[in-house]
Amino acid sequence: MRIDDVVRQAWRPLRVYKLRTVLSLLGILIGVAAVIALTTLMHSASNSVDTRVESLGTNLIVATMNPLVGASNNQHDMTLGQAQKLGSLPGVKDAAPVDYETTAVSAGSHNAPVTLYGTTPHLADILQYHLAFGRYLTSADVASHLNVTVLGAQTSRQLFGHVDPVGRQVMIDHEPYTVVGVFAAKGAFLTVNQDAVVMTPITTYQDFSQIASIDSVYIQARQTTHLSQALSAVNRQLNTWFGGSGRYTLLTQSAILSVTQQITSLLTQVLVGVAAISVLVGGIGMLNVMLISVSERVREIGLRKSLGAKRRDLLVQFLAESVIISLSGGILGVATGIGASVALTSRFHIGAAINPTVPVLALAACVALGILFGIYPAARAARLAPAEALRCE
Amino acid sequence: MLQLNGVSKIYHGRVTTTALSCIDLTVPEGEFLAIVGPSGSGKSTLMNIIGLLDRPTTGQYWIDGLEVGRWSDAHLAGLRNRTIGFVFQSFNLVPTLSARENVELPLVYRSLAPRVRRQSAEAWLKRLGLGHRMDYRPHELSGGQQQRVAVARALAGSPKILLADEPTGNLDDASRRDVTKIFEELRGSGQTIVLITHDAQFAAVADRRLRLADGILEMEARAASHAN
Repeated sequence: MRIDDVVRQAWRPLRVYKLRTVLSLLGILIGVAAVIALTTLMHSASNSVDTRVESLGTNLIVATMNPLVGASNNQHDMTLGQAQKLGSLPGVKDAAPVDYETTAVSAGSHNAPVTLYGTTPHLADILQYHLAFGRYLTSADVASHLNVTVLGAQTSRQLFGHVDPVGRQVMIDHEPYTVVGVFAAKGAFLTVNQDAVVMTPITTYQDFSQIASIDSVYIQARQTTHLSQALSAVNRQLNTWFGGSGRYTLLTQSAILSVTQQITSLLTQVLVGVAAISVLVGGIGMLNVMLISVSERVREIGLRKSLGAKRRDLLVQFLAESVIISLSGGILGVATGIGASVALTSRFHIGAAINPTVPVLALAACVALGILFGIYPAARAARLAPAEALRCE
Repeated sequence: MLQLNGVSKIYHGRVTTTALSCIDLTVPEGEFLAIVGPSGSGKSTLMNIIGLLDRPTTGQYWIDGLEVGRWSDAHLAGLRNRTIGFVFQSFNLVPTLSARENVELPLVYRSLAPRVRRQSAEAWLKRLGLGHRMDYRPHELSGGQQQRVAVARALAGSPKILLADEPTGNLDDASRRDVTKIFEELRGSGQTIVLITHDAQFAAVADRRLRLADGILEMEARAASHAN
């Protein structure tokens, strides 16, 4: 039997019994679409998290003081002087002490929830904030404990609309501050809105909060190649000051990235596993339809045998039928899945990152599924004894 | 062309049934043989054995000079395709294929090129008066037309033997006369035919008639026309 005839003989009943064909490929279509959409969604989300972690600032090391637990020989806290000294260690470009709280800022009758940072001029540079209006904090602001502030883009808009607010007054924790600058919009990182912020000098912050210790320091290495040098220098210095008794934690950007990547890859595996089960269920549905199709066509099978069809001819015909079903289900599923991916990623405002190996693998899996679930019905058709098959009503 | 020597068929079901017992039959090339008999006499079993669809329990069967007792299923399928054309009582057209595609089917299993088998199928359909129905599906045709498609399919592969099992059994009078006439014409062309029927008028067209009763084949009478 010629190969084009195999396809032609297999294709005809699928076209004639349209409803049956559509129903049996629907399960596979839905499963494949789910696999494609979920992998793309997870891949895109993970990419988007990565770029946002990177947008925190490159070559970043965060040193955080841990809360005191129990009695310890070394109960000193980090001072502002120590934090600033970290900035002059080998391999380190800048260090910015950071203390923060969530509070509200108001101007006239307008209120805005913000994260209030007490810090030094370097933080804006380390976190890659750019200016829209005015200026950054200066060393003079810090040295003089001035009540000055730089507003995040969203905070400025909530308080002043689209007007340049430089020189205006805002109230933070019942204290008046003068606005000296406004940052350009930066976007959200995970759930943290990076535009609902205000930055004030760390000295001013300490005056009002009456806390003299420093919670954390954001440190930037000179170059990516200096990262490990800076990390060990910072570690040595902190160890000298506070001992190795778990008083501080050092976190690098790559460590944050690997944590988020672990989470997304685990989630991807679970979701794709669930979707793959639905493909399998679709395959079982197809198996069922193929079995019904064979038992409805026993006479036809007997007739084909009487006309000279060999077992092999019937085996390949019915296998071709199931592979055509599963492969068309797969192709439609890939198309639906890509459509759904584009729709969902744009709904969540993340860039769609379609991994081309996933559709290719999905289609290969569909062919395998067609053969796997087609082989039993096809073998049943091929094995029928011609005389008995022809007698069948 | 055909020779059966002591062919029996015994079915081992709940009770053991002897469908055919010790059949000896020779059909020379070009003969039109009619086998008549009541239902349950073993006609269909005999037809299946002659048509290579079933194997005898005992006995030997030569077809076209070959003893086929030990042939594999695949070889039998090939032999069936080349030497035998079937016409069934219930037409047995593939419902999803057009009349032309049904006629082409034996040639598909012979791996013939589409253009060649199309020509052959169209020629046979035209010869049987269905030139205007080639693209119709079986359910769009009358019973008589369907049986003519089936005859065209049986002959499209130029088989050595045309094997017909009650071809007029499901037809009205007019269609029955039609089909009878086709077989009469085929006899004139030298086609070897084995016809199984209980239609006495139809059987009268044959060169020779045999009666099958309880699995035993008996001589009947020479067809009157044979003397001509």
